[in-house]
Amino acid sequence: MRPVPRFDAVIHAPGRLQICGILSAADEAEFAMMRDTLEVSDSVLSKHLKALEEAGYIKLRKAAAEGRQRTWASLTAAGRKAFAAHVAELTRLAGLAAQA
Amino acid sequence: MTDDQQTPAEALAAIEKSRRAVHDRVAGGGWRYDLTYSVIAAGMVAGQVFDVPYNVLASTLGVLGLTIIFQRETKRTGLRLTGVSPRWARWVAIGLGLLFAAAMIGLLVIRRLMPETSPLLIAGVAGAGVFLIALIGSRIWRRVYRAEMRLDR
Repeated sequence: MRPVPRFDAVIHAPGRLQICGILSAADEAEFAMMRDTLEVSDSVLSKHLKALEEAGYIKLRKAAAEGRQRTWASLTAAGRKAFAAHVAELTRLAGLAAQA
Repeated sequence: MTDDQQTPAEALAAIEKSRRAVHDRVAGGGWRYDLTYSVIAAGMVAGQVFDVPYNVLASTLGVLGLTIIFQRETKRTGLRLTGVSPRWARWVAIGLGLLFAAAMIGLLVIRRLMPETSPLLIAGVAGAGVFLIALIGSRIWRRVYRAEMRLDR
């Protein structure tokens, strides 16, 4: 089923859009992987993740590995739905812009 | 990073770029992963030709091996990606699983029908076949996953 296009201001912010892009392509992504891909500082990424978590779009999980605490993020069902709707809206708008 | 005023086309390009980054991480070392996975799958399936406890050992070692390569891949890429999570590629993984299950049952039937044939010979032929199927299946899974990474346009 195609998602109903809907613009989402929380997701659209640069950085958050890319985070959702990463998480839509995997089950979970590790903090360092996202930070390196986005080329942002730890604090900037933490802020984006917090905003997405507060919106109920992502779930954060802490896991110990090799004596270090690592943070993993995943899209919630609501986040997956909102991101698909946002991408559909962007696709619609890009199509309109191309026609103009 | 792009600024707040990005156009829809730029936003879509940013999403595609981030998905490509995921894909590139998963694709790097892909052949090594696929070959290891195929060897394990071949051992697991072909091992069912043998009597207890060797068939149980083959299954146990197979599950252990799959768990280890999954954990290594997760550590290497910083991504957790199960074969059955992508919407379309999951059907390739499910298809492979069903094929392996069918092969295991088939091997048990063959053993009953051909008791005089050496189990080693049956295991060798079955293992080679399963290895090829697993390798081809893995490569197909990657292609479908790669296609799925693209935005719905």
